Amino acid sequence: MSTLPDSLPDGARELPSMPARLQVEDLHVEFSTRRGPVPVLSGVSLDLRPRERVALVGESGSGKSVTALAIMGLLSRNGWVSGGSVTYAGHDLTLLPEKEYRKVRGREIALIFQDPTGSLDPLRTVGSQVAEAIVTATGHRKSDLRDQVVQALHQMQIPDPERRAGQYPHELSGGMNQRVMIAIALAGGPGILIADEPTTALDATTAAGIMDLLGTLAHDRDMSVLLITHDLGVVADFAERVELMYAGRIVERGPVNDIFYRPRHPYTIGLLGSVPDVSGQRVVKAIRGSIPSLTALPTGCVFHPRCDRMQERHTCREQAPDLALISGSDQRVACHFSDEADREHAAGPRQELAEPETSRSADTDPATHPLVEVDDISVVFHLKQGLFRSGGQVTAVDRVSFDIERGETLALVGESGSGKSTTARVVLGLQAPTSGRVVFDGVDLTTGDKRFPKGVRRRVQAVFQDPTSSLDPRMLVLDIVTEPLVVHDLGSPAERRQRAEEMLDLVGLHPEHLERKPAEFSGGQRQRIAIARALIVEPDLIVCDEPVTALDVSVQAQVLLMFERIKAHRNVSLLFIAHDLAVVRQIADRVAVIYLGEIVESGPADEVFTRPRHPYTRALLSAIPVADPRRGRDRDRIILEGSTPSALAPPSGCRFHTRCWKAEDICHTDPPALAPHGPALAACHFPEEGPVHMATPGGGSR
Amino acid sequence: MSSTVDAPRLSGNRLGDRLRHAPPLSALLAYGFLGLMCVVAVTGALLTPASPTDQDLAARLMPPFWQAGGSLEHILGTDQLGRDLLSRIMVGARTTLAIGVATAALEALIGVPLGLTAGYFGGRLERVIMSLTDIQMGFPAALLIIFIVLVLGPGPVVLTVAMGINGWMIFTRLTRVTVRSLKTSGFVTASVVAGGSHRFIMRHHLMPHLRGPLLAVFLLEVPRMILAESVMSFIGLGVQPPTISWGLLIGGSRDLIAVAYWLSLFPGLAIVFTVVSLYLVSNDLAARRARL
Repeated sequence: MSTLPDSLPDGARELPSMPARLQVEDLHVEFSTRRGPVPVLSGVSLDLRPRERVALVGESGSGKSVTALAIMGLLSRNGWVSGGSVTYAGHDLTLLPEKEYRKVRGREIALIFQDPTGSLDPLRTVGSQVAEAIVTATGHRKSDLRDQVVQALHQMQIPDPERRAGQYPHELSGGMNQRVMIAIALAGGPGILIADEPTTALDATTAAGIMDLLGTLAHDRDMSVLLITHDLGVVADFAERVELMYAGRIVERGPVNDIFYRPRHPYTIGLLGSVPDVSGQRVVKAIRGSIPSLTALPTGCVFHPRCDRMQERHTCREQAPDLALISGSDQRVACHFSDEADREHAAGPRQELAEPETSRSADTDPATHPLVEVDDISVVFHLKQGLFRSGGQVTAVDRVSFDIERGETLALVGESGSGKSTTARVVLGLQAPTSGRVVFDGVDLTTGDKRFPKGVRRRVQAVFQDPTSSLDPRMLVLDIVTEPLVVHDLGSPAERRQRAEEMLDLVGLHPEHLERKPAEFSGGQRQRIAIARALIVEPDLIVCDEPVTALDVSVQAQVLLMFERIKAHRNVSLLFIAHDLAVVRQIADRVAVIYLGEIVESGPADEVFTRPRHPYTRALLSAIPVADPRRGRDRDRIILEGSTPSALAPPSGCRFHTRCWKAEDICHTDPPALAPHGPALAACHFPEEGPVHMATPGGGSR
Repeated sequence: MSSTVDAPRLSGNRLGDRLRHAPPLSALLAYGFLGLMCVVAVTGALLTPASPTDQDLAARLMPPFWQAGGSLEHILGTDQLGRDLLSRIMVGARTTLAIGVATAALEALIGVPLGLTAGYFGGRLERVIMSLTDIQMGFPAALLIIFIVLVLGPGPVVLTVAMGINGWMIFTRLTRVTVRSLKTSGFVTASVVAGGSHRFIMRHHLMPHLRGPLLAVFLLEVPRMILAESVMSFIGLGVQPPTISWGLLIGGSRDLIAVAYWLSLFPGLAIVFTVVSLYLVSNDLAARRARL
């Protein structure tokens, strides 16, 4: 397998003295830009010992993917290693000629990427692509490979590998394609696998299976894994050691438990506080400011402008800290005042307990009707296929009903293809339902007329997932934010401007930002602008379609907190569409879980999260990685088999029965109806009882 | 999190940026030549060295000044009636450029609204408009232009209209395709949700994005129309004397090409330089847009 002799006994990987399989030392990488060379990595060092699972964690722009590419010798043409070394089996890889490097790639070090479907050739069967990898790695004749390919797919736990081998990437789900990619990457029997955000593009239930597989493979094949991710939950579940990156540097390193329970760098502490907690027992705290631009890095410690620990001390501003070992531990921190971490812990634990939820439930007056009543809506899309053949039809939304009270936040949760975004489009009037009604404050919005009745439009606004595309790049922020006022002809230009300034202030931007264009802002700032635009007409309902999905963890926390503040101060209802249950936990009063176009469970957030009735909800909850190693590894894990069925041919009876471990004959034939279970509704023949096992945060010794 | 956030300004050194983004020399020359042509076209007979119509039979068919028999009085020589060629080319610029620009503008005037309607509203309207476009594309344009000119009689206005109603399809197609992709973009959806009317969305979100690509096509259509005008005038179905156009100048000199090459060469060069300049300018504008 690997060229390194590896005769050390099992469990030897705990020994720090063990020789590293891969050693990155003081690696510097620069990229040329129109403004001259920009340092992307500034002295990154890391070791990967045999069988070790190391996570390289950071937000976008921290340099984690560049580190992977530099190790693989795959930097794009405008990037180069300007210092340091990557040592593998006694050779410095950075000095290797391209021809030699090719022998290293795949055979010694393999790499998998975020987007599996895009990484596969769409015109060839997955089997032939795996075969090609085996040919390259072993030199076997391609004609003899059928069994080997099927075997390889089987080892990736792909069901029915004989049939799958003959299929094309578009016929397989994203999770399946990622398994194929792993099979290709491992064909050469590498000693090291670098996985660059391997599950980011996948649904939670699928991602859990992939991480599980990677763990098994690493163990069985004596492989070291370098996991590159932004998701601290995945890290807590998977890694043994963590390297935390910020602005091209490693700022903290240590065993996973130390990093999560005794973080010492203020950025680590801030990042951990930014992760929403699915148990709902810890409130999100955000780091202030935003990630610095690599072209204008702060002097001294790169984190100092955002640091709470610095307190105007000059050292931080003038001197870059070393990654120094904390005595008596395996932990290294790049902070001048890391010893103050203990005092901070004593003063205020990072895991603050949420206040008793008083403001959570909306003031519901039984006498009045809810703000929004979605009554039994269905959306059917007819597929066109060729000129004369008519394709099938897809029921994207199937008889979905819910109410939203005034001031209430309802979260609609589901995986991709569940119909949650289509439902949002119906509520926004962007998509006419095939049947059913949407009633807003007593006004039926689905009378067949395409446009909303006058007056309603202003009261329903939206925030979308991608803040880059939802802001017109040619307009000034002023024109973007005041657009709803302009189209509804409200106020004079001066009044509009004043309102816009108030809104920017509310979302944490400056009035002078009004004169700029969207391109000058970061993703988080753009989403703030989009939120300011939605708020400026004081709507009663804001439909938020995955509003924080495209944002980094720390930015996500800032935006989530902003939503909370808005909720508290303006009596606005939110329809919050999301796939991330932890985010939903942070913000929702009530939750509806949607699977293949049907609501399978709904109820108060606390109820659904602590005592989920539907097996799918349970699986979804168990699949989210928890940013807490002990809790994460202790919790009940349900790994669903297979993938979400196609909406073109939904399963009979209960749609979840193909993946449900409790399914019996009745589930195959009779679709269950939504029935009350305690304060919640669930559609299941065999609903679960009892709370889900989730240890309390910080339950372990700290 | 209550803190506010600074967005870094993108443009740092403005003079440096401007120098870095300066167009290449070829484009600069093209801008210069087109500028000169515009001045000439606007001033008409005011700047010409001699009268474009005065005949001087004593100075018939004089070659350009650097050849034996030429004189600085007639820099580019004279025609068979002793008229100054340079002056005639300068006066012809107005007709030729005007017809080129007017025809392209007429095409855009017909094509853009059709494309906007088709792309924005979709459905049956789109199918009808696009079928019309395809039918027109399949029609032999030259035949139709000649037919119209023969029925209505030749002249600059008839020529412009005849060519314009035969060339709008490219604007329709471009507009439709651009609008279709813009329509699904987040900011248009956001505007719909905010309550923007169709007119508002077209004016504030679609047109600003269409401006760039439309200008590029416009700048490619003008030279095409200049060439078409030359051809029509050359075969006698375009501009009629005594109006002067470049195509007409070439057409009128075809019998003399063996004895007085300059009569065809210089109007021909005027057409070539103008057309190439327009292409260069169009390329340069496109490159600037791509950088933005």
